[in-house]
Amino acid sequence: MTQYLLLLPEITLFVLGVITFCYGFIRRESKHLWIFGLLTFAVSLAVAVVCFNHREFSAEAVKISEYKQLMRVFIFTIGLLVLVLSYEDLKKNVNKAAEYFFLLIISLFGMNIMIVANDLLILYLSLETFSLALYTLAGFYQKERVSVEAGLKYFILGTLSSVLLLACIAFLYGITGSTSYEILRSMKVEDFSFSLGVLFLVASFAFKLSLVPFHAWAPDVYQGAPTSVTAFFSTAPKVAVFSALINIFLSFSLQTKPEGLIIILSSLSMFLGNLLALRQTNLKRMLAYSSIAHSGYMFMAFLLSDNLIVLSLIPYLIVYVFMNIGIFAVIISIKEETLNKYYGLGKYNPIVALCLIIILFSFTGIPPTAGFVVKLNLFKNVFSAGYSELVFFALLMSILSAFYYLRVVFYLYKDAPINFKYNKNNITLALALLCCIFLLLVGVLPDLILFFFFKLW
Amino acid sequence: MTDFIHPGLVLIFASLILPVIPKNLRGPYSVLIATLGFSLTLMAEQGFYGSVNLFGVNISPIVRVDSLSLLFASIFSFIGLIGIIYCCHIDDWIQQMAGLLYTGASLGVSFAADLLSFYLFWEMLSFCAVLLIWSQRTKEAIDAGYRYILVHIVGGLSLFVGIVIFIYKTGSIEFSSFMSYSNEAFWWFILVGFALCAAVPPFHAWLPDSYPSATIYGSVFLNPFTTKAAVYALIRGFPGAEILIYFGSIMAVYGVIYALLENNLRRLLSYHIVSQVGYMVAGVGLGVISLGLNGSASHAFNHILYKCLLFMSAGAVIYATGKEKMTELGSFAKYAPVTAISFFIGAFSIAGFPLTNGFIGKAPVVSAAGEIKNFFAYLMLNVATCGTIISIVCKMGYYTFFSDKKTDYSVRQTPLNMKIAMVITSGLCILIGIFPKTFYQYLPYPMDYEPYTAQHILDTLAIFGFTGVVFLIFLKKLKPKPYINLDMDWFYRKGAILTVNYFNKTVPSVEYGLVNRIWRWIIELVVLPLSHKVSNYERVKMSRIPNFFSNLAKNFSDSLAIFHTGRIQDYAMYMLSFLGLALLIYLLF
Amino acid sequence: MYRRILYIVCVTIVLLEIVLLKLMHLGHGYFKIEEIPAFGAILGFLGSLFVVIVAKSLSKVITKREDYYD
Repeated sequence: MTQYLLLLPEITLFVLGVITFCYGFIRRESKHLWIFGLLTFAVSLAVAVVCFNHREFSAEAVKISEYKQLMRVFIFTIGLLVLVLSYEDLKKNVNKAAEYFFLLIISLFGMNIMIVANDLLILYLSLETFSLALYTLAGFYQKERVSVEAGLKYFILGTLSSVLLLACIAFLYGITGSTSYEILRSMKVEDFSFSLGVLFLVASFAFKLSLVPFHAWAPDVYQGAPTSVTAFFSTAPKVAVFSALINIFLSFSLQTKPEGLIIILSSLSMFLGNLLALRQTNLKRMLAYSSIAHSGYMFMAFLLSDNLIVLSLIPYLIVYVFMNIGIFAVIISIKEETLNKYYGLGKYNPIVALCLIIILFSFTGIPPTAGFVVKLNLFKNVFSAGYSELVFFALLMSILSAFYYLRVVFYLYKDAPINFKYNKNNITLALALLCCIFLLLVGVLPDLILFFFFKLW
Repeated sequence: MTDFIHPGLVLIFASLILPVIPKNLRGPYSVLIATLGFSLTLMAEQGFYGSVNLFGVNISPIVRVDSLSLLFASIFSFIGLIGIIYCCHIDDWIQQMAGLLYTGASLGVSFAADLLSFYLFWEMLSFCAVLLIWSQRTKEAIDAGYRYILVHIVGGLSLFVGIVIFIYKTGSIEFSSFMSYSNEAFWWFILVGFALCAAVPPFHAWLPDSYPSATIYGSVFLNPFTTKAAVYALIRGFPGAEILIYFGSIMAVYGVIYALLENNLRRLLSYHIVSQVGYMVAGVGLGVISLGLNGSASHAFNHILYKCLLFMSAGAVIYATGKEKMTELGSFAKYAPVTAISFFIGAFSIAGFPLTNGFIGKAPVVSAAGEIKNFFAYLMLNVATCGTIISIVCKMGYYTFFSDKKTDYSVRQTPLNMKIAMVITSGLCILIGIFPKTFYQYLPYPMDYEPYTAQHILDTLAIFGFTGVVFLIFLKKLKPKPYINLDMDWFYRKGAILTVNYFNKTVPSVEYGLVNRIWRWIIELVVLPLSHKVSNYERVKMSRIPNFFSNLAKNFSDSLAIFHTGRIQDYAMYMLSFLGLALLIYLLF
Repeated sequence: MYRRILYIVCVTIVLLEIVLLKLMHLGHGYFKIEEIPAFGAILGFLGSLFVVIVAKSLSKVITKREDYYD
């Protein structure tokens, strides 16, 4: 009975999601559906918050601890925010709204299961559950060629990564005869099949996190997908995959950590992501490269020992999600993706411009924004763990990133060649403002987010 | 604070919601609040209450209720109530709020047991006072308010310095007698801070400068709190400081001399505050025997009553006629008998006529001067009595309420609530005067003193009678004239102008003649050439470095972009080749 | 009229002071000087005279027109 109680938020989400889908399928009306969808997420969020407790529980395939519950709540919040963002799109595509919702709900369901999974098979299943939904979402607007192409690319490459994960599971099963996380602790480094398994595991996760050289799908998909879906892509899967990776790494014993692999992947991602972002003229594509770079920063956290992973990675994740949601909210409210359309925005829309500036500062990591706080926290921890060269490299790359982030800020105050029209969209603008306030608040009072985790552990 | 509700805090917080109360309910609401404050003060039981932890320093207790603070607190809260009744008909929430805040702050001062909260409430007093002065909303009032606040900031800073040194030197934060540290620097600082608020000459000029500028309701609030809070602080902190005897006696006479020359009603009364506070200050100085301190406290208590009565009746005169100079008034008694009667009750009280509370209030102070054989103080205080009689009872009473009408003024009806406030206060003045023993038992120190002795009564009556004779002799000479009198404020009012003029003449010539020239020389000969060189160097040499790096990054980024073909087979190849490479490395090493 | 009443009152007070305090010893002062007959009356007269004279002579220096500060 207890395990059902613990999975109550996911069960609620699923049941309500099915109901929403049926309703939307029968009555094609976007507004009702939107409210239904909001209710679905809100109710499951509430259930997740109510169920939040401080004890650890493990059934055979599921294990729940404090930070996992937090991540679960956080995933629901992301769902809610993305739903708010997609309001405009849905008004235009009424006849696809029900499907859109269902895909969103299914993918969130999969992510949540992934977070609480304590078994490699459950992990695989949940990964597939949300990946399939995401493939469809990437190509959601069938009329646009880019969108379809992006979806297809993502699907084919994603299959490859799934195969890798399956291979990893097969290797590990072959060695121990079990698929539980618990077996990882008893592994020996010398075992070749184990190393192979770990390599495959990291590779398949690296694909989901779009780490170089498994990143190539990301720019195309980010650019091709509808903006609200891109916002979803850049946030929720990362939270889920990083949480799952934390679970797995916490189960490793310290010697078996694939140190070299982590260093190579993260430094490559930082390098390539930042460098390639320099030459982009499309804001969404630029954000794709920046997300590659940020994944690189975050991936460094896995070099740390047990608790420090959680302490440095999860605050970074939370802030990163809010930055992304905020900037995509700005993009949606302006409805322009190419950078030269942002010329002179600061004069016509000072509020939007202010939001954009705060978010970009936070991306760069300039105080007093939250981005600075979490970056400092992460770099400091990695530095004191003894990887000073890596941290130095990351700092160098951060400086490089300032070029392309702050370039946008300069554009905002250039003279506009054309006086473009801007249609007001209060909901997304409010969301962007909310994110800005959060970023500034955390930037000014870093204890708000950091202390919370210190208390948790 | 379980069994003690601080009435000051109640008043302060309750008054803050006054602005949001509907307009016609503000008057009744403020009366209700003031009544609540008064009854809470009366219900307070003696003892020490409360503690607070501030920056790791534990301050305990913060509230002290003993007979001295209770005496002052009850008269403060009572007069707050009277003042609120007096002004409850007006439509100006700022004055009502400031009045309530002022009352609350003075209660806070009298209940404060530690120096920090004492200082907090002490500063609050000045700010409430300025609010009341500014409520008059005339240019003179605003100027006077600024002068008031500037003077009080000086006093407050002196007090603050004293307190800080005191805390640093002794480590104690308790507000009790400083007399064991006499003649240390902080002793003087604190004394000056208190004396400034008690309007001891030469720091008194703010009082007659600002009080007449306030609204008529404002001056009712202004006159009891600041100076009497200072008297309370002096009684608490400097009992028996001998220097205060002389300052007090001189200031008692000083006040009446100026009062005698004054033409403006409220300015005259303000100088009487100086004079009367002189008695109290002298009483504090005579505090080596408890009779002096008791006299000081009892005089403060009674003074608040009759002085407010005088201010209220003067306010009623101003309200009714719109005139506030004696040269423009005259024969007012026949228009407003209630006002006239209350004025004369107040006037006889302040002069100390037997059967009024002024008589029994100041008697202990004068007797204390006699007891410790200080003839100077004894003489000066009696002379001050003569001056009080001649300036208030005779001059102000005669030229305002009798004599001939000097200008043709119209008379407005005085509102009922103003009359009620005046009648209640007059009644109390008489009652306390008739039953001194009942009143004396509330004084801080036990004493056995009989004010009504034949000698005392006869002396007083004789002084009254012969002062009247002198007034009659000089009746023509003492006729009020439309002039103002200079006082210590001349030094900062004229002095400031002179200083500014002086600096206007000297500073610019130095600035343009000397400093500017040097600057110009430095800029032209040193800074400009140097910066020219630096910028040249920067343009030629330094800008190459960032250019080089940005070109490098751009070229690198462009060449890397070749790998992003957009073809899926290439992407898959990258992934697989990386895996292959990793495996290869693993196998080789 | 008022003047006459005041003078009568004053004379009565002086007489009372002398009779009650000096002849019947109903009171005692704090200082030797108070033993002078009708000390209160003298004090009142001289005191108020002092105040008036000081004030009047002071007014020659300090009294200014009302627009002095403007």
